[in-house]
Amino acid sequence: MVPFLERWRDVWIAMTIRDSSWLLPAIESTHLLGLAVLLGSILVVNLRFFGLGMRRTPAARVAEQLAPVTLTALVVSILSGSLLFTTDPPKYWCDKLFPYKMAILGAAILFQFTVHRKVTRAAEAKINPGWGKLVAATSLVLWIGVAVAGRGIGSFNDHPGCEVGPDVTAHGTILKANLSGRFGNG
Amino acid sequence: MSLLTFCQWLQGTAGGAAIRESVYLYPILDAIHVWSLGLFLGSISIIDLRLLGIGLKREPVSEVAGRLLPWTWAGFALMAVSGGLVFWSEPVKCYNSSAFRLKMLLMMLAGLNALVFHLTTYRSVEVWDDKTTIPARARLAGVLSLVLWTGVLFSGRFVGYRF
Repeated sequence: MVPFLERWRDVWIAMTIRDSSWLLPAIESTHLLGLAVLLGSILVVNLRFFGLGMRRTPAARVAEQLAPVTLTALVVSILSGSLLFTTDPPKYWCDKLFPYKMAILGAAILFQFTVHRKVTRAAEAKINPGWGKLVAATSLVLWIGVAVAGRGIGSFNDHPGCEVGPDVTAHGTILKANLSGRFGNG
Repeated sequence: MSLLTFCQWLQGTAGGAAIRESVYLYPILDAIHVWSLGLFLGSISIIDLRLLGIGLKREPVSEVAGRLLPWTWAGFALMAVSGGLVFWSEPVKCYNSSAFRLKMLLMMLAGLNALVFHLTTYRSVEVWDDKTTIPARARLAGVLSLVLWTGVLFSGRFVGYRF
């Protein structure tokens, strides 16, 4: 799998991003912007179930109005995230946290557009308050999990059994530059 | 004492060195700073989008701002404390970084925009509270807030890349 992924490193878009001094931080910033709006809009809907935030507005009304904001932010996060992955596929493939992040992300998206959507958009009288709270808390835990696992990517890349070819070693400086970037302050 | 001398002194303090040399504290502070974006930028962007007639447009502006601003402030407090501690560990690097200077400038402008909005345009909120289309000045404040805070995020990310 890794040799296959290494070939992707030579795709023009990956090379353009790697050769630029500013494209990588710009795409990372876009990814963080998308994530912030995504988390913010989901948080506002979920807080409502705990009687916090927009507590005077019916939950379904809050959820319905914020749905386009959440969806737009999710699309921005996924597109920018895919570009980040393209810059160095073997690095992400070999990262210990990357598969966890993708798994939690998959679960979060699935939950968001099935159970969460159904419960948050339902008429208040039809929903057991305890069930509403449980759904809201699960959604928060899943999305915070995505953010936590995502932040850790780049820190644990010594995946056991992951064959890193000579190409990656040759590009070791790029890998290190990325890592120092991730640990720089912002 | 010049700003540089102050940064050099701060960098030499025991607290700064402790954060800089710690294995876990620095990455944890850095991560808290990034995660708090979801609370701070996430909530402020929903208020700003409301001013532009996007998102919670059927709710009164004062209701959206009143209910969500406490969360924005909580996010800001987390960002300020974690960011302040990260700064404490490397003030000289920040002093020499153009991106960091730009970030500070954009933050001041974003604060000024919010202050002017609340002291002037927002005073007449009862008149346009329920409207989807609100005064141009209020919309301008919303756009400026989104653009400036996005600029703060971008310039912050660039500090880590030695800009």
